[in-house]
Amino acid sequence: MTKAQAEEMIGLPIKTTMPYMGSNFALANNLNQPITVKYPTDTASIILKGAAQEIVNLARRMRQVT
Amino acid sequence: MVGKTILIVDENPASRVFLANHLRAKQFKILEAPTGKEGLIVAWRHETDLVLFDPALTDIPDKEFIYKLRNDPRTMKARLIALSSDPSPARRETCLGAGVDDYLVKSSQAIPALEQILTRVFETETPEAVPDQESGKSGLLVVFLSAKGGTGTSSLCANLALNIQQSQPDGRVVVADLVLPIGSIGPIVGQEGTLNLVTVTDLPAGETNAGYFHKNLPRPEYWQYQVLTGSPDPEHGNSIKGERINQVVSMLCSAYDFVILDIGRSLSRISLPLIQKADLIVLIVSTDQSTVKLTKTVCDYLQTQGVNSQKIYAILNRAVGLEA
Repeated sequence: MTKAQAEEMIGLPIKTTMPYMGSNFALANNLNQPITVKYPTDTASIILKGAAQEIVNLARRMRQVT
Repeated sequence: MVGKTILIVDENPASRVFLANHLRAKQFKILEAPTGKEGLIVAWRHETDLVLFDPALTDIPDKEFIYKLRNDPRTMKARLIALSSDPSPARRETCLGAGVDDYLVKSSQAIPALEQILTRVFETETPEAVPDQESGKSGLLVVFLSAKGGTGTSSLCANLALNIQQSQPDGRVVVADLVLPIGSIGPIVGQEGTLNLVTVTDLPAGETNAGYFHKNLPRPEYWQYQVLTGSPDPEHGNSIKGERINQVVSMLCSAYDFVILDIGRSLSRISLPLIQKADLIVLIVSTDQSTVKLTKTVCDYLQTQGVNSQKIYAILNRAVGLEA
């Protein structure tokens, strides 16, 4: 499914998409290592960093609103 | 800042003496060690406030040195600053990934940068480093949820929590695994042990205060934050005192700046109140139609339970691929 199809079906915007990592995702898990440590230059690592910052910012904003 | 104890671990005597003299002049109490192993002994014996070290230690790998400091109760709260001759991103990532708070490169800018960090760390530190419920403080509560298993929720939870910790180096982050009947954060971060969600809910309420969590929750190698692992097996999971979970989470919120709960697909009468009071709900979706359909059902249900849809941060996780 595309992101747009998933968004339409759920009725919510999808804020972040994690890219396909092949077997690397499972390998990092199996080694008990963070993705950003095992694959620091992978797109997934960059996306994780950005998403973490967005999560912090949005959580803070929601705390202020409620 | 006056009177704080700083341990300098550096095999280069000239570098060590220079730093020691400079920091003594700033009224710090200085301890020195010429090797990594001696550094560990001094750090544990004196319970130093900060360890400033060159990671190029010949008697112990840098990661092991950091891991030992981070996982010993005498030094787990100490500030760790690497002052390295190696400017490579790989070394920096290794040290930060292993748990140092700051990584500086030896250069003309290193001393001003170090002074800025010391000022930030020690002058903003309150006498009561362990907040409690009376302080009224409540850390941000972020829950990770999915409608279906196999979406990589726990893995994303563990990895995003690390990035949250790294983006907030002065903040305390804890990850708690509420997935029942078997938790999966422990196996992902490589943490086993008898202290877990089930054993914590079994303790008297008065014992599980902020200080208890700060002191006892492990900080696994690489992951930088503290972890309350989940139930180790279904038998334990079924014996959990569900009525205590809300109280445990409230205490975590009073003890940490960020409380990250992995709920996985365990949407239940136990987890619903936590979702309702969360500041943010990270909803993990995978690309198969059945998961998306179930996600819609969960979202609709949450709305009927008064959950503000603006609080939902949806992530499409393609990292795990499609189920066969």
